[in-house]
Amino acid sequence: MYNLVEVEKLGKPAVALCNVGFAADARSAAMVKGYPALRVVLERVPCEATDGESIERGVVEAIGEVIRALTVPLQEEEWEEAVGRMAAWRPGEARGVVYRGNYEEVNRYFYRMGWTDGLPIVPPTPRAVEEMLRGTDLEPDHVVAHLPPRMGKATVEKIAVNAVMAGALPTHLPVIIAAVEALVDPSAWYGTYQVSTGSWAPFVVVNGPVRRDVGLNCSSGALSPGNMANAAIGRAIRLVDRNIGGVRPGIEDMGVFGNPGKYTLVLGENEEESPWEPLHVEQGFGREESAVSVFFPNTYVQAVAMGTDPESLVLTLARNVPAGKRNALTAILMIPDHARILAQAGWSKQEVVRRVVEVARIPRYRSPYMPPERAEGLSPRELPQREEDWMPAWTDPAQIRLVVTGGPGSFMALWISSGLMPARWVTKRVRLPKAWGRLVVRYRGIVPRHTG
Amino acid sequence: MYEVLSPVGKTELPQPQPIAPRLGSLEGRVIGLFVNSKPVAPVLLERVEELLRDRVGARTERFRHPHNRELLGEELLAFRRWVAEVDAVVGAVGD
Repeated sequence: MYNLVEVEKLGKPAVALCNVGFAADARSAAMVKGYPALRVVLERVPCEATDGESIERGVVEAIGEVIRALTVPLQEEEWEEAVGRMAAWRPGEARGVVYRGNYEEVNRYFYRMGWTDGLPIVPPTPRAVEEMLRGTDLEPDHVVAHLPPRMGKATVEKIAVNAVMAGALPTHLPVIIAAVEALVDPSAWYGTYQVSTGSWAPFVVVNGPVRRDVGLNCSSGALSPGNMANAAIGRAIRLVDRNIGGVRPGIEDMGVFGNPGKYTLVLGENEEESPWEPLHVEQGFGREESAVSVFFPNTYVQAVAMGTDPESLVLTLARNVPAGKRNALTAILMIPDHARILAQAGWSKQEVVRRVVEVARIPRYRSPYMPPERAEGLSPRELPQREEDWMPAWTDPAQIRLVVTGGPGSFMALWISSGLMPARWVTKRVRLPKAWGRLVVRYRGIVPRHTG
Repeated sequence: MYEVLSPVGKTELPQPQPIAPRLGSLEGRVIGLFVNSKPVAPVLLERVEELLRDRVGARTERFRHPHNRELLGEELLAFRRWVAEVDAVVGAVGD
């Protein structure tokens, strides 16, 4: 849509021939760019149809409207309706208290406004937000970023409001702010992944001393519910995405199935039990710094190791890449026991990744998303029999990062993104307030005992 | 009783702009077909091309988008040069 807006800006008529399921998304995109009346003609061709009959039927039905959209001048009522729609949609910055009520009433109000993730929130009272702001030395009106698609202004205060709602502690705030900075780095391709049909979720790895300061789970069940830091930091990121970026499910966020990782997908690297340098050091930061790394996967694969010798561990990872994933940004999650076995073989993190890349193959099935082999692909009706019918799953080891985390057991795991975007892992430093030590002491005792 | 703050960030959207003047008739006009990277787009727009030619006597020119994102930098400049050569543009949107 943005490219069609560019056509209008150049003074030429543009028409979006739009799949009917994407009508609200298309209109939202046009409004973001200030062209609410950009003409959208709806067609009913099934998404990514491969049969000529449905394409023929859909286009023939729509062509009259396309011609009309290019030839009939903008009507007064059409313009008024478009401007009204934009005015109704555009949220002003609500300052001060916006609602008064008891716990239940506040939650129902926020839920009806679409400001939650479906679960009850902690009411963001001025006092709670003030306490949250102790987690940073940045001024409350400091603008951390403008978040797409609505280009909402992510001030420190607005991030803090969403952090309170998520149930975060003030010690979590600097991690959340760093994550927001990582999201908007152009290399992350946040603006595309947050709205895509692919249901990509921000995967957040926290490194450095801050992990232990805030009680992040870096070991057994790091991605499971039950730990406040892992749960609340990711939840806050999602609420920021919704309330500041303006991403609404089924309107801007067109994820086909959605992704439970959008509730939270945050873990720490188990640096203490890893034989290798941590992720943030690989990304150019000092070991004593704290940092947040982000990318957008939509696929999670877990597999039991085929054996505990180094070759079997590499083969387990290489043989469990889904056939539809090609050159995708990836996180390998590895338990400390497996990492030690590989390190004892003399392999660095990078050497392990290089060996996985060397071995991993996927079928050269015909797929529109597997350039440049798309034209010569095999039919997925057949299992490939010949060596040349397989192709490397990755061509560049830089697309993969290995993170040591998780607990006892024998499972290996892959979080896999897409090869369609030129995205990269993005890492940002966590900036702690001067009074960090006191803040940590104040909140460190809030940990689950799991005695019940 | 709670008094609560809004979680919504201020949005700084541009003022709404009207669409460009329409063409009146498409006969003899050059309609640009903006083909995004989605697999169905070339096939769908090929049929649009045939129908525009047969029904209203328009010619078409295609611009092949290398990916499915906003054009930037050199790609945007090339796109603008292409737009300058056509009278209007039809683009496929959505999967």
